[in-house]
Amino acid sequence: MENLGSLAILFAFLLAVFATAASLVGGWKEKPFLVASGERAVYAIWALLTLASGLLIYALLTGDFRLAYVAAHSNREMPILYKFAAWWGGQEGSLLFWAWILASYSAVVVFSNRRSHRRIMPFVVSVLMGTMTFFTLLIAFIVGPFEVLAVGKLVTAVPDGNGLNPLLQHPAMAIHPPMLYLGYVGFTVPFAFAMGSLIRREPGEAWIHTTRRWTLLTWLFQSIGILLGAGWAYEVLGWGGYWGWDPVENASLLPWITGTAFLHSVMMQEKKGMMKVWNMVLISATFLLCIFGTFLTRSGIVSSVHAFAQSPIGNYFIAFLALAIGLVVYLILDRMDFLHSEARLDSVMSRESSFLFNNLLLLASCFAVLWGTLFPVLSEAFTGEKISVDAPFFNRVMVPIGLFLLLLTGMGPLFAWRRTSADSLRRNFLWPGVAGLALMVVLVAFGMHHAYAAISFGFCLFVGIVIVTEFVKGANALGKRTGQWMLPAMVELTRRNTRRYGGYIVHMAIVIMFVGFTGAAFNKELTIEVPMGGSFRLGGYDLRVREIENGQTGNYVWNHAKVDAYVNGRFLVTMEPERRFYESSRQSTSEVAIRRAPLEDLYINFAGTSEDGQKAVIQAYVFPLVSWIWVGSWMMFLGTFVCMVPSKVDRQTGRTKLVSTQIGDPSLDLEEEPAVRAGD
Amino acid sequence: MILALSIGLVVVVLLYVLVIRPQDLPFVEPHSPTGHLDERKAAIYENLRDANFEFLMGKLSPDDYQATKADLQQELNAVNVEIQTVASKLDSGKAKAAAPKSSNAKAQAPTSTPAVSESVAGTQRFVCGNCGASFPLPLKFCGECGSKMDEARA
Amino acid sequence: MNNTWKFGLITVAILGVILWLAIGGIDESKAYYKTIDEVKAMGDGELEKRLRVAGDVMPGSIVRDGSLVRFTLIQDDLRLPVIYNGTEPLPDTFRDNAQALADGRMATDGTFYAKRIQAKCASKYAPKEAGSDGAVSEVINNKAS
Repeated sequence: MENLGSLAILFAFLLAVFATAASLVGGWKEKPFLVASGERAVYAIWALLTLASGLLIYALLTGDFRLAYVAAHSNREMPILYKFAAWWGGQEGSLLFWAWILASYSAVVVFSNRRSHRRIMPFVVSVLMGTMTFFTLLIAFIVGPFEVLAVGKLVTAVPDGNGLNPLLQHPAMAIHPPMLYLGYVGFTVPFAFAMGSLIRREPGEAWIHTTRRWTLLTWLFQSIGILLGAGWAYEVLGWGGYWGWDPVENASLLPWITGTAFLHSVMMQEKKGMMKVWNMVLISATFLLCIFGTFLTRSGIVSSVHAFAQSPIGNYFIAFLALAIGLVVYLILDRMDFLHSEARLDSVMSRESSFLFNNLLLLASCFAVLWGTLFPVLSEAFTGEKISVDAPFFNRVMVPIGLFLLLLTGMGPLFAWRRTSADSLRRNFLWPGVAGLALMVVLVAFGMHHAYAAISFGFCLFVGIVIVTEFVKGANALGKRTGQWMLPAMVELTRRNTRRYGGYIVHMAIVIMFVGFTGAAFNKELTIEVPMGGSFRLGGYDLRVREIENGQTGNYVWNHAKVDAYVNGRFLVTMEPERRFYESSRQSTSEVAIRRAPLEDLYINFAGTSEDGQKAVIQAYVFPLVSWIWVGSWMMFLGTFVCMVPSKVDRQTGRTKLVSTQIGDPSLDLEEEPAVRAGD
Repeated sequence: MILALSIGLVVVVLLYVLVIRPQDLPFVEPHSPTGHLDERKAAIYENLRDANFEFLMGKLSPDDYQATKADLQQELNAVNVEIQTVASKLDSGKAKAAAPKSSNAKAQAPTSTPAVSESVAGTQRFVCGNCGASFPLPLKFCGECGSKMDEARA
Repeated sequence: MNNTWKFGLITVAILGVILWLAIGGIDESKAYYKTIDEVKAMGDGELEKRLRVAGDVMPGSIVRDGSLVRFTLIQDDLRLPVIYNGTEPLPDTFRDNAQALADGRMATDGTFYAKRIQAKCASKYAPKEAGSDGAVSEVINNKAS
């Protein structure tokens, strides 16, 4: 069976090479049969990799411990979910998973464009399959998932496998990696379309229209992946943090940042035909950073709390990255004339320039994170001493950038396209600006000495008001025309331009999340040894340790503390943080107790008992406003979904295409009539 | 057993990838040489509508709105002129191509296949069965009345 | 031209501020990776530096002493006594034989005072951990393709 799996992977590799070459030559020389053959190879690769994945999953589920991969990442007692998750739980399997997702995406792309974009599709396919060649090369020759255990020439099996780390046996951890992979891999598609139109010098913005939803979905997957990781860290790791600027976390953040920049700057290209080079650079950077992130998590070049094996595949990644960067740079430089801008910037006070600065800041933050992440590697290369930087560096740089970005989120919609006169600015800025400033003054006056926190809350209020105003004013204007009430008008407004108003919902979500992030400035923590019945005080809470209970289940030994929380003498809740000790892996984990509330979370970790066994070691934390982050996350998902729904306008056909959001000003309606017949 | 399976798999996949009959080639939608210009025009219209809407929302002062509108209309004119240039070039190219041994038709009409450029640049019109409007391109839906067009030609 | 200047100025100002923050941030939080033998060879002049020292936790050496935790890091034959006096709880993965990364400063008496400890959790891409299941690791070392 393992032979069949290996064969499928090897064959997929050969077909990927074939598809890359056939599509390239077929597109170049305009040979439709070669192009069609390349596209069929895409489907065949998907089938082969699905077969290989199926075989691996079968081996994992049935516990075929002859396979090295199964022995290393699964064991008999693991629940089915985690046995399945072992597919992407280890190096070899996760690369197969990567390749399989890419194959699935490619098949979808080829199928949905079987009639459209025929001029660029061959090149799109060859870029996709070029990437595929690299990943199938890795799993076919370097880190094969179907290697069997053997002593000498004799294939053997082990009685039971090592199993998955208990810390990772958590539902969030089972879906966190696939979400990130879906995001990482997904950016290959817009990149392929960008390169396809660049190679072909295809006029127009077709590649952006086609991949717009694709990019959004990919971005959504990546956001979910990152936030799931944050939520897991908060619930499981026991120190209450959700983000630690760990190299691996950074690796997932980097393409997310450039992807976000891309989502914004494509609007400039669609609306005004500007920033074409920039968008090419951004989408390429996003793709390359995705590959780079995959590389960083596998190669062990930076040490991290997520432990990584030193592995032989690092050099292959470096070679692939170098090759890809070389090709992209060559293509962009060679086709600079094709990417010339169709418009120029009219004024600093314009929507355009707010997009520009948004991009500048996102890019700067991306560089800062990259720089900090690679600092040990860079410093070792240049000074010979390996120096690392950690959270204080990132916080110091990223907090101001984040705040400035937040401010721009609010300012963007207030500027008009092209130019904004002082008159328009006054209309738009006055009330939100005054409200934001007033909040800052009030907060400082009432004794908030944390400057960044006061600024952040002020900005949040400013941006929040701006967004709400956008909805209200829009609904008003629409309601006047259609005679609808405020709420139905808002819904109608959103349906007519899902992208803009969905975007505003996402921005609102960001505001809510920033409120949550800002809460971290007021965290309180206390580590204390308490005897039974003893009590201590943290924030507004009086905490009393009532007792410690012990017990055992099949998998682990547990003991947990019962801690009663009182506020102003009134009983609030009993918290039961637990410690577990897993016999099989000889590892202990803690299950923290969290009391979630809108204003602050009470978070208690039972760190163990003191040496004499009489006292409980308790770590208690108060985390203000953390829940806002999770609420914001949900809202962000919702907003992105709204963005992906086609606008009502597009769904209708023919002339209704022109109805759109326009209302009033009949001169516009008249002007549009000839447009339909413009081709005459 | 495994061997037979493997050989079967290889053969099936190879046949699937390599044997392609002419009728398996996908039907290709005709490529419009002015497509990207139409796109640009649609974008400008959208910008106009946006500016109008922002004016109605009270975000734009009347002066700003008029200035922006004038700019956009100017852009629109430029694009229209460009479309006409491309169209007239195509027509003349077509005329030359009709003459025997004329070879520069393809160079002037950069389309994917000759067959396609024929249908685009030709004098063929695609007429809506419902309202009678005619178009130079085969449309799925009529651009005038929105009813479905079944590629009827006149 | 006018516009270009304006954009240029704003851009330079923004980038300048970020660069300034970044340089300050690096000075504030830089830590030197050292191996135990490098730490042993260090002169007294380098006691100020924040260091990160990696090694294995010597089995049986972890002793809790009030809020302090004492243990010994070993690398080959070299040993480094460590006292952890940080506020964060020690990670669950910190135990005998774990690979640990201690973050802190050397004291003159040759003890390392750690403010933070990272222990490599046996994560997804981790190498086989010796000792946890000897038989498996031995067989896996002999794996053939």
